[in-house]
Amino acid sequence: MKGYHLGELEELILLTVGILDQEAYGVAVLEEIKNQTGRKVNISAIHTVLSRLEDKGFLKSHMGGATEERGGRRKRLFTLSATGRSAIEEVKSLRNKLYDQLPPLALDFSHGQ
Amino acid sequence: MDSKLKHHPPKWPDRFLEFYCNPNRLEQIQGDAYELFYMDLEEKGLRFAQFRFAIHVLSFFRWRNIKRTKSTYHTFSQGAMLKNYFKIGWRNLIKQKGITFISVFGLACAVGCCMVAYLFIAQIWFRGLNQPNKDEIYQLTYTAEGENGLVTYGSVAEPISELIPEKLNQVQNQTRVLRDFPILIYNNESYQQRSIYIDPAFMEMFTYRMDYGFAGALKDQDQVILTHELSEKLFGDTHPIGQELELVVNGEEKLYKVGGVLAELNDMDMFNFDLLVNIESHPYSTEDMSLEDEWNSELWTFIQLNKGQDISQFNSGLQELTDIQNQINPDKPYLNMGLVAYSDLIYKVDEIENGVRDFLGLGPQILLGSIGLFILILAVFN
Repeated sequence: MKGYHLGELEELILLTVGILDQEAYGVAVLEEIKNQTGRKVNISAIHTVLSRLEDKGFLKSHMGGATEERGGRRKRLFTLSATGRSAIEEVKSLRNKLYDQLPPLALDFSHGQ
Repeated sequence: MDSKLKHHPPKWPDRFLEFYCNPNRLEQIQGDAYELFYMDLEEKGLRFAQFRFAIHVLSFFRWRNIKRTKSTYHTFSQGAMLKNYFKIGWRNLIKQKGITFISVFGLACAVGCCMVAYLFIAQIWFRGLNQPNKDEIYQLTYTAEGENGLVTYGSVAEPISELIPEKLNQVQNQTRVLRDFPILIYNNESYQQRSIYIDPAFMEMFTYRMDYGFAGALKDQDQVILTHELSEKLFGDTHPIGQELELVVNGEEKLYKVGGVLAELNDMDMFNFDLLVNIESHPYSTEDMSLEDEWNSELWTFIQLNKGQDISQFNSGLQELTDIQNQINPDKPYLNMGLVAYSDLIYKVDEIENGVRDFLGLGPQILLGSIGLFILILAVFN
């Protein structure tokens, strides 16, 4: 299999969209990332990544409800696609596989002398 | 909620966003920007929110979000088509190497010819036209009876320049220009160099940038000004100012010091020269000549008017000069004298004998240009 090639920010945003479930749009993803990781990401970067992920087929989107704060403009709501979910799974299992191969943490004095 | 909706995002960035943004994406992007604006407004106040809004609008200015004239689907299919064309074209080129060579080589030659023709004509037309005083500089000419009718000459009798301050008052500057090819001797080696012998006022009328020294150096008769190229050729890396060289004119040697070096000319010059020398140091100026001989020798003579002066006021003065010349030198009568604007000299290539630009008339220039174009067209259709 070819693999999914997710960038770091792509992975983060893909996960956040998954967490937000039906309520994922630009500002919501921004806020969620800020709350969960303390990281301030630029809104335009989020938009770019979201549309790139959609191009890659990891996300699906539709236009959602309008609110007053948005000047009556609708949100584009993103949801994980099946491919997106399996991409997350694969990345995670790859991480875990590598993590499991780390040698156990032990105090090794052999180098110091 | 109501209180914060009293404020609106700043107009200019908002309009800019609407201007550039792809309509498919505008709604979501603008909506998010508004939402962030009101969040910032609540947390940090109006100024900050407005500033952040502008920053957001700028950061949304990305390739993906910019409006395009063609839809993405359209460009995609056209891209594939073009790719196809290129692929087939390339295969044909590879397949028929002989024909390819002829076409490519022919086109290259044609472009080369065209460029040569263009450069040739351009250097005639555009040279010297950057001179800041070009609108105030005029060349003196005279018209005389020739074998085939009237002929206008670009040079006038040399003593006329002495009479200019008297007869044509309010002339700001004047200079004579004498071309010569003296032998230049430096370090026991001799070179033949194009020189122009000029009055020091020349350097005030025409502007040149200096690498070393100063433009007034020619006021001293023992000093010369070299072009950048000549200075490099003679002195290489050594400092040129104060170096001594000799010029030999008509067998007479004369010692000069380098008083200045011009920067790269970059088409600032109308004249072709390698060095500038004060005309008073030319043997011809120091020689004793009979009055008639003096009037028979002709030089280019340029005058510079004050800004905004009209040349028609010189008509009577020119007439007086004509009369004086005809009195002293009746063998070679002038019909009348005239002034030709410096910037018109190029257009009058064909009309002025012995002028600054006597070397390729308009006709040959057009011929050369059209030959170049013709070759290019042939090669393009090949």
